Amino acid sequence: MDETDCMVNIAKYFLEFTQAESCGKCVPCRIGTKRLLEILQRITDGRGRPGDTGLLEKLSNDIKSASLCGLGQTASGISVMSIRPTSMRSAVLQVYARTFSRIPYLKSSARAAPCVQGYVLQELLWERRNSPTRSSRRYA
Amino acid sequence: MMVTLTIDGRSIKVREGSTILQAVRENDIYVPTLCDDPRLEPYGGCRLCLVRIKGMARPVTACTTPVTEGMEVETTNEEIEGLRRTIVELLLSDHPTDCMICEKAGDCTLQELAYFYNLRENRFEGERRKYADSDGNPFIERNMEKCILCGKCVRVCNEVQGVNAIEIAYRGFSAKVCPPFEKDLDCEFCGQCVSVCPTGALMGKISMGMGRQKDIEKVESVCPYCGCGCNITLHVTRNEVIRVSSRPESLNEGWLCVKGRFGFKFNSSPERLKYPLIKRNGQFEETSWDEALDYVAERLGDIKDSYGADAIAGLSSARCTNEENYLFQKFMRAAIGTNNVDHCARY
Ligand code: SF4
Ligand code: SF4
Ligand code: SF4
Ligand code: SF4
Ligand code: FES
Repeated sequence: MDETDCMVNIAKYFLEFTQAESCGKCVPCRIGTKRLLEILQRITDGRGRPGDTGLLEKLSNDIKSASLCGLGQTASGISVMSIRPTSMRSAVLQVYARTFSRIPYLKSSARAAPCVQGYVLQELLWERRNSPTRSSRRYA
Repeated sequence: MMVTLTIDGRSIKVREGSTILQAVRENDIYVPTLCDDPRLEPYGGCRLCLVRIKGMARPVTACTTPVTEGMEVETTNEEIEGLRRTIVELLLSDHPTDCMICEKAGDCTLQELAYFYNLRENRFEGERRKYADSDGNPFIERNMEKCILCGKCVRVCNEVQGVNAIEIAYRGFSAKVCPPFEKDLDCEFCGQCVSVCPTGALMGKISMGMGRQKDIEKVESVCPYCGCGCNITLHVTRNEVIRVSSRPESLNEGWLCVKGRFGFKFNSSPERLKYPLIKRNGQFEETSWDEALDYVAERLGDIKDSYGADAIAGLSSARCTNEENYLFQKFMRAAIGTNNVDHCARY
């Protein structure tokens, strides 16, 4: 694993592990980590829905606060870190910046696979459509 | 020893060793729960009873946290309600929304919570557990797709009934309550598990399709089967008993046995004996109590005269009250004159 690996795939890998290890006693971990994985899966499959990144962050935080044991409490941490909309977006914007040299270089270690970049760009577009005054620069 | 703590700004005194949930309940503060039953050991699985304690990094579950002196508890705020909402929504995302045809509708804690949090759209829609097989046992309808894995049935079977007929098998999302090797349930069929289940996952087969909860009239009664005399509540619709339950605050704490809980169909059986019968010419004929009692007295007198009192024996029933049984032995000893008297529960 190095800085060229897709953070979203790594998060997915960890969530698959959590899924296998979750004992199933408490609701946030049993169902919540399953849903996190499903959301990530659909984003990487190119079927992401508007608001998915925000939902991921909200659900991750709720699982972290509400789970019974350390497994649930830390399981979602990886997704909070690696797919936090800001870091995922900055990763995408970084690619965007390199390609189009419009946006200044953004410092971020998180990278995302092309499918995720595509999704995040799409999500930025969705949001822009809803609030035309917003600039993508604000996500840096 | 009493402990003083603050709950939602109110100063509250409770017994040392109580949990926060007990303290909250004693003071009529509402905290939602799904896996708690005051008669069972705390579990901490549903996470609905999360509360904030000042100075603690994370919310804690009220049902598993003992009170301490000077503790400052907050049972509701935006953060906690958000977490509870997420939990109920997650549960519903893995639940058949079957309320229209579900026996439990109207008496279901999950449905109530969905109403309370006004949940219609589900942010977390996704894969659901699907189980095709149904349990072939004669008494309990087990629909594990509706199970929220609160573990109450497992605990009641273990802690109260001592049978251990079911456990939670598998883990994570695939966790499932089942009898050993996922065979059909084969146990005492006391129905304790049915009585504690917060959802429609466990229902009495005998009550399926018999009527909605709102049409039920509840009639308090005493179980007619044995001398324990458990308190029962008859659920009546259209003049027919369709279910039997028992209140947790009754002398039997809401627990019944298979007879008390599921053996009520005799009530409306056409074969039920309602009048005394006398056998004449090989046929039973209905008769009046006066005639029947005169006949019995006459025959007992004849037998006693011809063969002596010890030719007669009496067997009474555990289904009678203590007073009735006392009178019966008095009758056998004083009126008939024999000690040949026994009782079905004495073997
Ligand atoms: S168990 Fe409750 S929530 Fe589920 S379908 Fe039945 S009534 Fe509705
Ligand atoms: S009916 Fe009684 S013995 Fe059977 S599983 Fe339920 S609680 Fe256990
Ligand atoms: S069957 Fe009912 S009581 Fe048992 S774990 Fe499931 S929801 Fe809880
Ligand atoms: S028959 Fe069962 S339910 Fe009825 S009184 Fe006896 S123990 Fe209780
Ligand atoms: S009631 Fe406390 S965790 Fe379920």
